[in-house]
Amino acid sequence: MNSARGLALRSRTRQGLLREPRRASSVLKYVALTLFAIPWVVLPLWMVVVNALKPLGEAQALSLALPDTWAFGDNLDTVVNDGHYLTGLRNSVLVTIPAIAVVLLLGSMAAWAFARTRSRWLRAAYYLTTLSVLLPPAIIPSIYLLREIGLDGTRLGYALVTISARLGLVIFLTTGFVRALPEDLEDAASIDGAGPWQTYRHVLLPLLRPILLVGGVILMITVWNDFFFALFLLQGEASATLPLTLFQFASSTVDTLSWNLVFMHVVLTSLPLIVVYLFVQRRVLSGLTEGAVKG
Amino acid sequence: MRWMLRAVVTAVLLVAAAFAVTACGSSDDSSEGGSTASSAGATTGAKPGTKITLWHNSADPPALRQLYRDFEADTGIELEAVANPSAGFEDTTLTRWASGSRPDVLEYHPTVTNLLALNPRANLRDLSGEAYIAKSGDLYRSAATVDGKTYGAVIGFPQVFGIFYNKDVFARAGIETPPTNAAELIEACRTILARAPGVTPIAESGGSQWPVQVLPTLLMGDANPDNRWGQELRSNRAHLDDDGSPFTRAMETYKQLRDDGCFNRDAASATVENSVRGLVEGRVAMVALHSDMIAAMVAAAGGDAAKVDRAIGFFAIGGETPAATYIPSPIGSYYLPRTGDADREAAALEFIRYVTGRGYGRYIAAARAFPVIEGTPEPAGVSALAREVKAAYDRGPANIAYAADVPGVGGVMVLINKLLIGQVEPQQIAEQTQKAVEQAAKAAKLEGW
Amino acid sequence: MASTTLTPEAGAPEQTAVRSSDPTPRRRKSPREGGHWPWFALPAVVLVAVFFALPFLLNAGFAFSDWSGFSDEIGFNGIDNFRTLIDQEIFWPAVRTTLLYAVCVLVFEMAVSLTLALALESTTRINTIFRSLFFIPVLISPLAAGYIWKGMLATNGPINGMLSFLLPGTVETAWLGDPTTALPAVALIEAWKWSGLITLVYIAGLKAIPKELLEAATIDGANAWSRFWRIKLRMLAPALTFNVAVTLAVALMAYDVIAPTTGGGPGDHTTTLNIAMRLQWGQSFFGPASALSLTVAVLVIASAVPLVMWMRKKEVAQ
Repeated sequence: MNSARGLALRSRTRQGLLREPRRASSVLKYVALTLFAIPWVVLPLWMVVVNALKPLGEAQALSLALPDTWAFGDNLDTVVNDGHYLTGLRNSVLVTIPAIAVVLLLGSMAAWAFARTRSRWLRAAYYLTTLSVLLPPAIIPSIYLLREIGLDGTRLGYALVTISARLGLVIFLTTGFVRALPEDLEDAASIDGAGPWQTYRHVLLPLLRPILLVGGVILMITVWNDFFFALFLLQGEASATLPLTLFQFASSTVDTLSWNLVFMHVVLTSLPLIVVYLFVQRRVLSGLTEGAVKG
Repeated sequence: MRWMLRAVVTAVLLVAAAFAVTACGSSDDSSEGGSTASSAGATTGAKPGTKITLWHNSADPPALRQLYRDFEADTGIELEAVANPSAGFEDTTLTRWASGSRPDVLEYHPTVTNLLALNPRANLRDLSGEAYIAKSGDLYRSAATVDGKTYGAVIGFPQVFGIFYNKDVFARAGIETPPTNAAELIEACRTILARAPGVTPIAESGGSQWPVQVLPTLLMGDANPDNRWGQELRSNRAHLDDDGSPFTRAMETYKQLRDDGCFNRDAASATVENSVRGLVEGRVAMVALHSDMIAAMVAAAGGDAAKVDRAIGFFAIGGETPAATYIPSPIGSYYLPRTGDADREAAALEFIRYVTGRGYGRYIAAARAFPVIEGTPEPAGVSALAREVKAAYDRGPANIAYAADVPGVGGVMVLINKLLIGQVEPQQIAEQTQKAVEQAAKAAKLEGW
Repeated sequence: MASTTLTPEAGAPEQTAVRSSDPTPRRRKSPREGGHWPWFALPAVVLVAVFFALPFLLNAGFAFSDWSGFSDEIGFNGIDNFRTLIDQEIFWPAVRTTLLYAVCVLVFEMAVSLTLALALESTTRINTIFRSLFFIPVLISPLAAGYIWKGMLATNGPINGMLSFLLPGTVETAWLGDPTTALPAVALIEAWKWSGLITLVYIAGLKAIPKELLEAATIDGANAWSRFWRIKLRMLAPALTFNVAVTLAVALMAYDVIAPTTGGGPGDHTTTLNIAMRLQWGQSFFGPASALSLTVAVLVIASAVPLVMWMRKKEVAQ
């Protein structure tokens, strides 16, 4: 657009139209957002917190009312001691962090191979691995398999199954990301005499930071909160992860659940995740923004 | 790279902190053993220091958990207790079992219908002839026994089904004697609707699923003296969908009550906690439950057991005549799977002998529960309500629930739930459940199918 | 998408090609020449094959067996399991319910996430606060989410309380107990749990839209609505498909949210395939349970895979 009119329009556009909308509609927007956020986020979280502070009988009503009796200390005590919270925390950390590290490492290595290869075999392997993201886990054969190799009920066995089930997602996200990267840097490195491992470490990994962060966050959430795998693959109080410790003590009668303890446990279990998230949230978004979601 | 460094440092600190804290925290392996040997091993050859595994229900009450610890202290045998969540208990236990995992001791339902699902002939040890069996009256005629062989040990008092009612509401509605059969129940419900408006006559808890089975089971209770009907159902001589079968009649009564407006409006989704709370607070007149739920009532009353005793009463009921319908409790019922390890099997047997012998009296006293093994004194401090239940049971006739011996009735609660929302008719429930029974009976290769 | 935000070095292939055909001795094989690829992919592929694919195949085999807890013998019984499930009116209702559930989750999620993404697109301080707030449900375990909403949606719970406040009269709807609202209600809970994350994905997608396109449209006289439809939505296509594929897969495997809230009820209105499967397990009917599990896998493959392949093609075209 070369006309004077075009120029004038463009400058006006740059100044006003595409920047922050007018104040009135902006205020309206945030009011609407707040009204939406209340039932969507605030109330549910309030319900968790407030019921975590009540004694058993009161909490069974599951209301939003403030507690009549302040049972924070009691509930905390029960969860930490009878509920073996600290053991659960230790085990959750011991399983989650190495598992995430392994998935990110092996997954990105495989993604590099899948993204750059011309081999039909590898491409087939890529599709099959990606399929694992979508498929449901087969739990009974998994238990059986672990028993055959003597890892049934152990944290190592649990970690192996978890890793294998989550690799697909990281491979899926990372392969798309790598495909979008131009190959020059890698070629340059190899011409300079770098071996594949060095190329991977020094050229590729730094570039993959954003998507690995996104993958890491998703992994962190799913692995930390996993109950289903843990229930069948871990045995004994000493190896229980946090979701397991929740159930091992939360029932007080045969057929009901102690919701005050359940919610106190939910609070204590979610806290580490929230802390970690606050640390990395800016990076997560920029990771996503840098074209991470290629599909 | 600073963020990465930060992340790594955070992770390391977290791990270190977790370790440090657990070091000062609990070492919660249940190993008190190794301290003192005892005379225990003399009869079974069990050696102190042997490690055995126990699969148990996560809802085991404190007194039972104490019993496990007492066993360890007394015999020196290490007991690793693995909890299966009480929500979805059968589901989790059977899934683990299906993969081939075997504990040394298994806490599970003693009803034959559940026992069959474990394939006892191949997988469980025969405990017939153990001392406690003869001392338990005719409990083992129907509990934990298949083909004349007893596979389990039951130390808990049966769950007695009946109707818990709010005395105040009954008084207000002018009901002096509780109903004794289906017709009287329908009548009582109408009376309450008329004379105590705003009160729900019967609270059903479809949201918790299992409670909706209780009322129909009660209404069939009197049709099963000596478990005769149960045996006929199991051997294909009688069917749930026969003409005029007690099952169909019970479901029709249930439907009638629903159509009369006796149930709470949210019956299909209400939780049993809420129903119990309503009962204690007088918003609900009756709830059909079993005796183990008294603890939930006490919880709903804020822990005030005296209040529960004052406010709530119990009565047994049947289709035509009242009967105390019961089911042996899954809590405190144990089986011994075959593991092929002689040491562990000896230790496991020691467990059974301990909990039915030396340790039993202390457990009963601590749990304030009624004993099922002769020679054990009744405990002090049992709640009035619990004593009312026991009185009804002793008065009799105490009939085991129809479903105790019949495999495949697990899906009936879903069907009753469908009835609550009008999705299905009583006759259809009977037919569908009979099909499921057939499926299970054939899978178990029962006689007559 | 990435081609517009990443480096302008794209277009160097010819240069590199010339170099890689340079027959200088003692040069390592260029990454593109294969060689080490299989080793890099090997650990991951082995793990997935052994601990995931193998159990999966075994499970698929059990779907056609008469495996149960009642007997130690396992025999092949063809499609009997499926027939029994159909006879007992378990199979088809579960399939229908599962698909309906997946669609509901998708609709709720996209509606909420897209709206939030448009509203919170610019990275201002207040927007970041809102984004974080909406992300918190993602961090809570699905089981816990189920319990929370069970309380929230109770007849005398906070949601009805709020509605009673806003609307005339008292609202006492049993959201989880009414046959018509139960399924949408649990679908909403599932959507609630993940929307925060999907919103971020859409924001990233929106940010990647080149400003020039939007400016040009504005100059051409397009208003906000038309800008949204014609440009933003089209450019968001990859993010949308990603969302659809993943959400479908997650929803088809629904269990963690439904179990604590409705347990499959009222009646069987929220009995998805996974819930039905657990009910079969609990009755010791392992063969039919595996059959239901296999059905989930088939549904997932049939719906999500074509989507992923379509996405691949679009990406290559870009």
